[in-house]
Amino acid sequence: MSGVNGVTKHAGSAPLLTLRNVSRRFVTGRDFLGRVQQSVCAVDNVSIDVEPGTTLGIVGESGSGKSTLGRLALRMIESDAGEIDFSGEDLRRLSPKDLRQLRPQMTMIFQDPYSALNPRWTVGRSIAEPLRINGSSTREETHSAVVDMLARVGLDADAMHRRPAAFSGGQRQRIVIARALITRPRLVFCDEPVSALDVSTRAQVIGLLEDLQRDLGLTYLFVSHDLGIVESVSDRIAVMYLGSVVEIGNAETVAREFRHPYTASLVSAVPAPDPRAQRVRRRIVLSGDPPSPVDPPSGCTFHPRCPLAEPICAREKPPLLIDAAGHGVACHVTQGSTDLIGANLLARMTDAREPGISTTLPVRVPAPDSAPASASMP
Amino acid sequence: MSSELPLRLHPGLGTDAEVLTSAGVGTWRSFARQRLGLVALIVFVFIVAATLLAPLLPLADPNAQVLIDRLQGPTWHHWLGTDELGRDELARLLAATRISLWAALQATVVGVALGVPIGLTTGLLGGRLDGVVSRLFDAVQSMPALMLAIASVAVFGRQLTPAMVAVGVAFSPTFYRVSRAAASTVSRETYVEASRSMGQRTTRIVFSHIIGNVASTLIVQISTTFAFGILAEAALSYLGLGVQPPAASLGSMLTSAAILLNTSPQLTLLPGLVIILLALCVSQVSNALEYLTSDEVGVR
Amino acid sequence: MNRTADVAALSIGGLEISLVQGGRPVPVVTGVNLSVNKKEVLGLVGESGSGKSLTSLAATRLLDPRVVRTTAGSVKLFGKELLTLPEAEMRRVRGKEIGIIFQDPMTSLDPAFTIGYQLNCGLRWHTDLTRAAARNRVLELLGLVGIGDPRRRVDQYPHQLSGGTRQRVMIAMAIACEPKVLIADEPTTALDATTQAQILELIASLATTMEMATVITTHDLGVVADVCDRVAVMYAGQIVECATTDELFYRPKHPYTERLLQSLPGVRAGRLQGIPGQPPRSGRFPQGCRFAPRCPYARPGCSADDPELTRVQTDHAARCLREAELELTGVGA
Repeated sequence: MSGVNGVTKHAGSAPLLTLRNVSRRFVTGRDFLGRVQQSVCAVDNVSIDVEPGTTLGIVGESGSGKSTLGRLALRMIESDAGEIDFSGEDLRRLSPKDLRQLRPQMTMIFQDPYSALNPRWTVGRSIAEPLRINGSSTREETHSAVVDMLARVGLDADAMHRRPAAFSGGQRQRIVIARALITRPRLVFCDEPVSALDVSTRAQVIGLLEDLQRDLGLTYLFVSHDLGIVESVSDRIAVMYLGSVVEIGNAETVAREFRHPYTASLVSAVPAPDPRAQRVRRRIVLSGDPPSPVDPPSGCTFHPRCPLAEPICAREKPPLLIDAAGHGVACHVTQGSTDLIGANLLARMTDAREPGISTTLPVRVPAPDSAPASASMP
Repeated sequence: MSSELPLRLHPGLGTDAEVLTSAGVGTWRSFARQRLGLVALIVFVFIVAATLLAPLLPLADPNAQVLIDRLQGPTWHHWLGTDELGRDELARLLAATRISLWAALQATVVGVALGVPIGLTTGLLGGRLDGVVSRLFDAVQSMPALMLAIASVAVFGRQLTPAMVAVGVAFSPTFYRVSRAAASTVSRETYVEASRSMGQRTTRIVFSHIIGNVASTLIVQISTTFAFGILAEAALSYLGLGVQPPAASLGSMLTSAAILLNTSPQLTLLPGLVIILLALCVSQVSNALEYLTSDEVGVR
Repeated sequence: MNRTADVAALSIGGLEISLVQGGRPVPVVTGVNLSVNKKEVLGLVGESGSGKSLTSLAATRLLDPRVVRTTAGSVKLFGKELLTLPEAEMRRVRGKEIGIIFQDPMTSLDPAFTIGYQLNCGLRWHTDLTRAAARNRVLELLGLVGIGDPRRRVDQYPHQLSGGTRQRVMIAMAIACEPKVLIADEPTTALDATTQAQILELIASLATTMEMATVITTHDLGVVADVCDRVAVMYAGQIVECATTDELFYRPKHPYTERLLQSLPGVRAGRLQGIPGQPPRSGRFPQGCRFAPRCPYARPGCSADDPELTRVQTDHAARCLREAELELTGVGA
């Protein structure tokens, strides 16, 4: 263990983006005098590093604070505490003017390609917007940059004269990507970039993002609720639950040798596109909804839903302890153990859950008598 | 705000099944609407041009009284006849229309100038400022336009401009609300966040993204207000609170003609027709503009 | 076709659905034959615009006839034709005999009423339960769909519930009158990955215990792997492949199915494989095989001849001219 709630120094280049103990609360209720009555801790004391040219995936359910974390990292919203360092610049102390100068280097790709483009603007105008805000390029430069970006994202040059309504969801997302990359940024925050797309289009867009990362040397902060997708694009993965990072490490490690029970339940929720494997596999069906962030549980926030919870879990919040390989886990139960890793952890969790069948759904047995009908055959 | 046409299910079951490409439904009707708008625009421009060019036309002085020629029907010299003081009806009608249009323009400009910038600001910023300003405009809204205008007459005397400014103030809450709602809706769109993430300043966001989206709603509101401004001026002058003799507006012409309704009905009908024509033209033009701006986005 | 011997719960034959464009119907779904038996779960899979939702919703006759029309074919519920049924009778069928779950639980519930009230409405319209009996039934239903503490939840408004719980309420509404057929249109698309698994398992287990015939439409083959007995894949308004789930996943016979499977994370090592190109816009389908322009195995002949949906095995049919010569990869290969 080389640090408590810190991040191990990796050999090699300095991180492009560093977050240290970053927190943000949102006020959700005030009394009639305007005093804060209720607030939600959206991001709680989070530290992460993103190495240049790599992808850090952030995975969690809705309400886990993963999108807020990305916006804090780009200073799209202000953080309450902590340090944010972007390529040597102390982002939190930057003046609005200096921050604007830095904007072209850190851009965003959004979840909903339908509302991310102004329906009244032509595609060309939308893609050129970042350049126009910068105001440094001539008309000709802007035009050729747009043509170049359209080609890079796989759209025809004449697309620039049309409006977003003429394009499908996947094509619109390509346009959004073109807009995000036209300033040749160093860091791109991808906020659920494929959640709104069809599966077949998803694969295309992810392939495109990977190609562009390689060609342009981009660094991605990739947020998604789908561990399967995050695993396929990320070098490192951070798992968030109720505003805190509960597990962080190399993509392979987090997806296969996970040590946090919440990661285990995320892994078991990824649908295996293999009917036989899926049938024998026992899923950990988490009981209930994620708890309300307004009134988070004491201690480890996951303990009310955790099949392995022990008394200490309700009392103390476990620190995120990071080992020499850069794998960090915040869990009282699995930290000390040597065998509660990956498949073993999953098995222990399902066994712990099984006696109390109240929370699991009846296991479905394929009915052999319901012979598939033949009517669909001509 | 998907602009592709979602499949409409039976009313009451609001879900779109699969998004399909837009279908050109009712093409003929939309064409007809645009043609009507074009005709209305031509008529409106013609009327405005005529009133502006009136002093240059070979017409009699609208205030010159020739008492021998009182209450004549249409003749070669007086195309629309004369009024009870022998003044040329056509010349008076053009002069009156000019005053009415000018008055309506004053009211509209005041309404827009007061309502739109404040509405866009509070809509974009929200928060407590929004609450306070909105209540203020609610208070203004509670006062009827004509009451405000009459109050201004009490303060400034019988002048048209202060009265129309008062009417404009009374109209401003509508502009405020329309632009506030549009700004607050558009500011929640992802493309505004995108623009902000590129380092765009808030004022520029208003001009580049929000104005464009408010435009079609505002055009409708402006034309409605303009038409209502014409009617408000007519009402004020009819009550004798607006334009003062010998100058004429459409409303004061109605007043003076009202007592002669039995003998010379044309003196009441003509200014009345002009009022109706102007109001109709403005509303048709605004319909067409609204249609054209929505066409731009591909939603019909 | 001999459907008379064993009457399917829901059978769709020769279905053609058209979009009304400029007063003229343009076919967007053509020649769809499907049938679902009691206790069977059928997955209807396709990209957006493939016609999967249109097909499943045509059975409920919820499509607005000014925009979409069913121009040919039949939809039978236990042998009873639904397409020609008067609207008044159709209202009795909807909700009572066919339950429907929509994609977006956020907009499909009325924000102005408690969920208990909304559940009650459907129940009392279709049954002659007393007020007290209906309330008990509502509580029972909420328990059945796995909502904890139903007594408290029943008086809550939709905005007080999470997305997953709202979808459970939608399911409770759909099964309230114990329908014989359940149609779920993209039931998990709007939900988180963890919730998705719960909801699908709930639908599948209800299908078995309540002996319903279930149709689930989705764009994600991955989510149907363990809940469906049979899968029909749609592309550009046609069924291109239909088989038992195992057959379809392990031995796909249509290039489009193969490509869809390759699009899923975790199916093959390395980077994800998308399907190049765009699906054709509805109604503007290419000549011959509609998938040919995007198909890696296409030959010149593919764009000339219209492939038929042919049986390649018992319980497996595919619409591909080169089906016999192609060696396609399934999952787990």
